[in-house]
Amino acid sequence: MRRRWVIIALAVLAVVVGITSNLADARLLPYGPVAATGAMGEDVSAFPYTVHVNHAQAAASIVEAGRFEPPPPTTTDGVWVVVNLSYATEDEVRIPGSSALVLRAEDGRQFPVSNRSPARPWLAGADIWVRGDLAFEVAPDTLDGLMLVFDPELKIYGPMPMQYAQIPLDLDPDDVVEVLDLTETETLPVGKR
Amino acid sequence: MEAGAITARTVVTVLLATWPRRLLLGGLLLIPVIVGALGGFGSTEPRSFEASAGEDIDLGPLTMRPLAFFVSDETRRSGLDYVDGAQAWLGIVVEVENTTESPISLTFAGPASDAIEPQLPQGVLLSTLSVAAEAVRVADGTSGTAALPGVRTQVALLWPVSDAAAVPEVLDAVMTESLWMFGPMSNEERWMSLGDTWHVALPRTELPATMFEPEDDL
Repeated sequence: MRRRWVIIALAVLAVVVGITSNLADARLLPYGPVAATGAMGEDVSAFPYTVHVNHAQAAASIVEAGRFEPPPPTTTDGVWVVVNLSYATEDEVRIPGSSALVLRAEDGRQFPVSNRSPARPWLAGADIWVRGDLAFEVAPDTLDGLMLVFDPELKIYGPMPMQYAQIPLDLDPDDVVEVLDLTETETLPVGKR
Repeated sequence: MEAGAITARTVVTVLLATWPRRLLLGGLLLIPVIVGALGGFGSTEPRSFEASAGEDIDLGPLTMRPLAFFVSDETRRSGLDYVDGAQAWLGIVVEVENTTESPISLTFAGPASDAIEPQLPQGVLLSTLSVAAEAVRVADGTSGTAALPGVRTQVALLWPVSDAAAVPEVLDAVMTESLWMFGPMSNEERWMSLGDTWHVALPRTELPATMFEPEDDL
């Protein structure tokens, strides 16, 4: 009789230990991404970068920068959102990966830097701030509540809290300009963003 | 045998000891019979439908509306030169909308892999993958490779073909639905083209004027 209870108790113990370790793994260990929510005009940390959004504007078409003769405007089936931002690193010269910067809508839809615009993330150095424009194509109904997400996706192995920045863009859904000129990237003097 | 051991015989005896237990066990055994009587769990075999050009088709991650096809070598000329033995592009004009939360590449294996496949004689189609080699936005001839969530775009999907004359006047294409499923090989959930299929007959059209690329005269 006692032997039967021992077997049942061991089976219950095995299940409880499994559930507890799963819960601890999912909720208590300090790895996985951690969001740092900032605002426009503020330095926001997304290690190893610090990012600063100056302004954002919605537009029906954009004109790429840096040509002697400007090309015709590029249109979109959605809406262009041009984000003017600067960033620097905290350690060495780096360039963010192509999917590091995305716009995220309130409902979770994500829009990468458009491959129909020549603007791509650029190199930045340790406390060397470089400013430029990035153009995103988004669905028109997402302008309200759109957020810039900068996730450096640094590959550090082991339990480590990874940081990413999210910055609400405060766009007015009714303020969509017809044509917007993109500016070229520019390395900034000390103290400028 | 030791007294108090749990054997198959004692388990059966315990389960069938009283009437409530016997009824419970009988009920459990009846579940498959009841489910079967109500029509079962639905078929696992994908179904096949006929569709017509200009019809919206929900493929899971994408909604696609196939419109027409063209054969031309007067667009993306340098891309055509890269493919051995390619004579022309087969282009299928579709309207596509991504219904997921993340962008989908129309020219890379993934959610769009079997979204639309032209049916041509063996050896005419020169791509190894079913997915298109290039995608061009019809409105202005710029890149249309990325289908963005909630942004409906008309694009021409391009495949290199070895013989322009081998493409019939009416092109058959097969569209396959993708299902969000757990892949034991990748150990994660992803889109897999295992769902229903639609057969569509596409009318021939001209190369959209916006995509025309003049020949380089060097």
